[in-house]
Amino acid sequence: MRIIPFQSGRVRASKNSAVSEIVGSLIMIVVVVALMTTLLTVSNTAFGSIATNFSNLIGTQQNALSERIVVEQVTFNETGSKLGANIYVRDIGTYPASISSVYVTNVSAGTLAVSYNLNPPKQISPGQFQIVAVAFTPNSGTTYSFTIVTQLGNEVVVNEVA
Amino acid sequence: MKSHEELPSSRKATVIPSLQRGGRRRKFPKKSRSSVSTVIATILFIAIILSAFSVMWLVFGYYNNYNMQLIQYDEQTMQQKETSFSISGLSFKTPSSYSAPSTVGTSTSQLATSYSHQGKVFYAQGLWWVFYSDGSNIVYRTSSNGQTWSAAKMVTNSPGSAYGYAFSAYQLGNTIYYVLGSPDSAKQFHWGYGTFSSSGVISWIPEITVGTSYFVNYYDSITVDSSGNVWTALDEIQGSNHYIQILECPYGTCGTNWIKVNLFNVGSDSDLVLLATTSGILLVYGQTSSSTQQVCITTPTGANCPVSPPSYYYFLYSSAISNGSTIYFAGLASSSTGQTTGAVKFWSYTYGAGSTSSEKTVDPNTATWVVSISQVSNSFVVFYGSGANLYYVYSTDSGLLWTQRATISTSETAISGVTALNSEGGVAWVSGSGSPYNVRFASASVSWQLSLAIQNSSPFAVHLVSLYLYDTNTDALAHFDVNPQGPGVVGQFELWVPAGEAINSTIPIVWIHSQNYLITIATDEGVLFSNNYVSPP
Repeated sequence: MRIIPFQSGRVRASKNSAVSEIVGSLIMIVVVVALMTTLLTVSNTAFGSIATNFSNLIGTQQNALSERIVVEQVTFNETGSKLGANIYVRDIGTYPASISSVYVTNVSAGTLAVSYNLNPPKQISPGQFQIVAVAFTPNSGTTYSFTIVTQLGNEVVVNEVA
Repeated sequence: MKSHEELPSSRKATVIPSLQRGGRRRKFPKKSRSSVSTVIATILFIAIILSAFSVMWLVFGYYNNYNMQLIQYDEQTMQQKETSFSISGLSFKTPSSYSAPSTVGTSTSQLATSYSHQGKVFYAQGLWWVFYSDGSNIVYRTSSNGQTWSAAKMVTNSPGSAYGYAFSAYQLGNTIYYVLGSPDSAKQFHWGYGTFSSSGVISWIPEITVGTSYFVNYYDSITVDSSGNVWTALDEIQGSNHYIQILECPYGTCGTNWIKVNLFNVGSDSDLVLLATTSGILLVYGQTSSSTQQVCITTPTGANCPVSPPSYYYFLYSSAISNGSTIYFAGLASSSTGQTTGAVKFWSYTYGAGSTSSEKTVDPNTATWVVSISQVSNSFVVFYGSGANLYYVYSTDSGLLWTQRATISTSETAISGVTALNSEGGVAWVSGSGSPYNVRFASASVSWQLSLAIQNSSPFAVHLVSLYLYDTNTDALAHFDVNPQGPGVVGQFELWVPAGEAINSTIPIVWIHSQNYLITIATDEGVLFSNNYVSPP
């Protein structure tokens, strides 16, 4: 067993060593806290981003699923000052529908009669209906195909004879 | 050299344990500092793990919701495929008979309910409400069946109450507004409003008196626009000059705060009616000499008589109502001025147009017809009477085609003051050749019907929310919906049909003979049933 000699200078050296260790330990703690906080922040940001992206993805899909529209009736104005058609669209889903576009095709001739963007989109509350008026010149006896498109990408197609 | 045992106890701490235990460590202070870092790191690590778990939990929740949505979508799609219903029976019904006229009360004035367009008959809270002058007061009576009537209740006895034509009323939901002119007595008018109750009582605000530019002569009209502003128009006189004044009472600050919108000179006393359209207020007026004159249409701030129909009309025996941005007029018409008899004609005018529609002859027979137009569901009804006879006709296509006239009564005396404004098929008039005159009433609501039997072949109940009746000849559409406030909806339609059962439903609608009708019924799941039917000749 080695005995450390008792010397006054040794005592001073021991005190200096203790201060360095405390400082070192504090630095270590600071470094650890900094690193782990950074890691926590990065991980939270990453996880949050994942959650947000997934939420948006799923949310959009959910809304698109919940938004269901159906065309109940189409009436034609073949004469008079308001030529065109009135399309009665109902939202049978649970999410408000926004009708953004209507495409009218002359089925008999195989031509696009009119493409119609609604600005602002026509809002339909769940369970309610709205009349979408499309201006074009319908020919009596001609079959027209109406494609109603929502902002979420849902569409419904209906054929009617003028 | 002293052995360790020989050293003072205070010095034993300087012994290095690692050396004593063959290389194993450690001194206490180092161990303590190391644990702090470890604890902090561990806590933060656990926080990261918890954060990850919470995100996973959220993601799982989103996915679970999405999955539920998918299941619901599949169920709805499956239910749509299994839904099967049809119209198993349909019949077009005509009115078997008009309700026999009843006597509402008596009056010492033959003009108790005059004039045709001023609003004396209303339907609210399940009751008919008929307003008239008893010769001294403006009163009203109510009836739930159009046959038996309550005691008279007074509206006002202010100056002018002896004249039925000095009183005009307008209904907005369960609120009624009235204006009362004081013929030649003062430069003022009276007005007020109240609320219909199911007990047959109207709770009125205290009547308000408002000053005018000139003496109010005879005629007035009141209406409310879509913003809740109250409008009135008055026939006024100053010396030998005649004027029409239009005033507006702003919503929210209305009382005596009437703004004078317009005051313009007209040739003679002019009867008038203010009509609220979805595009704005329109004024229809005509001079009131005892012969037919030109009828004018203008806006509250517009020029004097910018638009007139082709024929001349006796405006006191004519009336107009509004629907959407269009007004509809029916009256006693003649091709020249100065006539006291004529045919019954109809026309319409859309706000902003440069001219009226072409005229349609409702009844070509010539007489001194007193004419009033009303709206029942999606149809227009014109009531007109002369002498002992009172008739009515219907149109379901905005006045293009009219039914043959039907008789309400042939046993009246000197019919006057036929009024049916916005009255859901109820009509009031005065009968009699001397005082006391009888105030009479008849109602025709839900007389024309479409009777449906709807068969549900589905293994579950179906909820029907929409019915369309489309006249393929005229492109006229009548839409009945679960939401009666929807755009263009003329009536409410909602029906639950139990699984495997049939249910009868009656649609109050005036149909046209020998027309092709496409009937479409929709469920709340978007399943449709359509079929074509031809109405009987």
